[in-house]
Amino acid sequence: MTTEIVPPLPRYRRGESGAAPDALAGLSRRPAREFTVLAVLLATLGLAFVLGVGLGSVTIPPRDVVAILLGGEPERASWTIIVESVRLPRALTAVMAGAALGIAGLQMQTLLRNPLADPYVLGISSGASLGVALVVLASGTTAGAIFAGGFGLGGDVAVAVAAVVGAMLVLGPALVISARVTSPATVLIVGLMFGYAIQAFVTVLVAGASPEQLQRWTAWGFGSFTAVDWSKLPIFAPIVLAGIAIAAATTKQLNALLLGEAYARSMGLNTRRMRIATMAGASLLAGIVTAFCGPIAFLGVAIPHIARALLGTSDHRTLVPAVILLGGVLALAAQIVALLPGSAGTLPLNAVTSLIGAPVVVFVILRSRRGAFTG
Amino acid sequence: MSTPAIEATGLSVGYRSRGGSRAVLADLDFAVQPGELVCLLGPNGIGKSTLLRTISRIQPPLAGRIRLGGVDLGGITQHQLARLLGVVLTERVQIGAMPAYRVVELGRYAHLDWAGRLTAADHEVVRWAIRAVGAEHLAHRDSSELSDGERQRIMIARALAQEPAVLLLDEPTAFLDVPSRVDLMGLLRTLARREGIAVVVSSHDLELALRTADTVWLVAPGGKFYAGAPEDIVQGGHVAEAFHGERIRFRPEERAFRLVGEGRCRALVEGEGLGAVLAAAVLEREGYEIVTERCPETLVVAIDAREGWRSEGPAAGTSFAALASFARSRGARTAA
Repeated sequence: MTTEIVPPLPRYRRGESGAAPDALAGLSRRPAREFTVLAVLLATLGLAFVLGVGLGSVTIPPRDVVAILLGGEPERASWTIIVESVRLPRALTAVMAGAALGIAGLQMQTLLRNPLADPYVLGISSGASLGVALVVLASGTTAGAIFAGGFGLGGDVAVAVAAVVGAMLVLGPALVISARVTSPATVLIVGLMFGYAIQAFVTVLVAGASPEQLQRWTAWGFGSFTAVDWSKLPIFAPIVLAGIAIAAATTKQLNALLLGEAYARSMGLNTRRMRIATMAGASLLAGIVTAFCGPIAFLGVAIPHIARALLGTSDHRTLVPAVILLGGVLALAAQIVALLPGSAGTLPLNAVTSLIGAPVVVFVILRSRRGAFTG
Repeated sequence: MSTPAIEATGLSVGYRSRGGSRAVLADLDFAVQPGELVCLLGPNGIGKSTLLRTISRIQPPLAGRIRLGGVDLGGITQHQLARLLGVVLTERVQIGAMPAYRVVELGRYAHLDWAGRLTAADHEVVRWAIRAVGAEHLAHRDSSELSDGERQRIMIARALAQEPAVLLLDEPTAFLDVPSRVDLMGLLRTLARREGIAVVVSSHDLELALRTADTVWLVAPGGKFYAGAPEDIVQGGHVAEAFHGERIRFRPEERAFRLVGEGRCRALVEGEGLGAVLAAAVLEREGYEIVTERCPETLVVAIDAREGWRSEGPAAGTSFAALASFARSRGARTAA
């Protein structure tokens, strides 16, 4: 082989390179498509929000919804009360829950390089369920009696704390293991096993529950965004925002992890600290959503995949805002679909998210051979 | 001479366990200068990876110290290390949907602010890295659509974007086809020379490594470590010492391995040029030992000016396929 002998030159020095060849021109800018998709998602979220507020047992026209939201006067004064007391918190909850589940799913998928990772697979939601089960189902016992007062403020905090603690209890051992075991697959399997074990405890608790407790438990299990009213938002919103802030502040780290932990570390990432921060943020998000909205299936795994497909990129700088917006849109859409039966009642939210999410997951798996996503 | 890019003193590498430590390689002293291409060779499981993992601080040394660009590895953060050392691994990475340019951008990690924003200067380094590996035509393509060779090239550009003093590659050619291997080694050589980076690459491709490297690190069974110019290593007989098998033998003259023939038949090739080399190759494959002196029982094959061949004895054709079948029948008769 022929290798030209070039006299040694110093390494790259700033300002020494000449004009950029055409092949590299413009590549430093992010493609316009990413900004277009974000703008469209933002507009869609606005639209879905107005619809989500307007639809329900009483239908309020979008024009009046906008008027109420902007502080104006709707056609009927009663609409203002409906929107302010019920619909607005419900829609806000849906947006935040969707964003939270999507972000938690995205973090898990990138960290574990597993396209199907999300809080459910990892057992985080099972841990949260156990926390909720202990509060809801143990309300006949002495400890439960304190919180039994029809879920007052104390009860809300108790459920939230129990769920987040439950999520962390699963993550605690998982974190210790993931700090020692380098293989993400092992962490994933351990998470699954924790989930099964905890589900067994929950089943035991459910078996011994009274019919009234069982009814409350079942209703929670259906999933709903209506449980969060103005009294609960001050607990719900800050925790969701804190969890999302962790993801938003670590897009650079998440991008480095796209190449796997070994490469991420070689490029300067403290992978251990990043793993702990990400797992903590994700358990906060999954725990709080599970506590207040029930175990909502499939949104966490589906949202990041749809966002990647729309954007055509795995770059977290674009993916994180897109997942937040898309999570809000999909959660509102699920909420609207759940209202389909009309005034007769609503469908269980979980049924709707499963119907939306399951085909997306199957589609994504079938497409995955083309390398459309990580893992 | 400037500060060595890599300097190891009294280095022992190996594994620590509860019962003590087990050194794979002990008491190594070596230095690599900027612009030097080092190939790390040795049989499987001999400690090559352990040495590379220790230099890249994935595992701690059992004893001794390593300096990269004059900086002791013991007292720096992962972040600081990333500015001294770029790493390319064997594993095929599934990066996902992202243009190759963005993958190279990831190499700027240790140079960016907390938000990960790339400045104009960062982009200039990224473009330099892409040009240095000759990947301008790949930059806009999606990384999931690149071939294995193209992806390794991008991964090298990404390591270069770290602006390291040392580039460490662990069997980067393992998944590549032969032209891509030669291409990649040529690229590493050019990179070392032109950019003044010390490049250390482990490889299974001994023949290619001996042709390309400035320096060879050879690990032989028994924890022996030889460092030197490829030709010195060959002359010292260390390659034959490190790699030996019942059926193969290292030929120092050709710097290549040859299958050992049964040695029952000898053959002499008369003539010069490519024809003679190929005729010898054919005969060797058929189990002949190639000799240089005519003696009884020796098959003599003569190459004429048109690169055709004839043998003493039976008349034969002129193509090498015919020579092969002729040699096979001759060999069978002699063996019988």
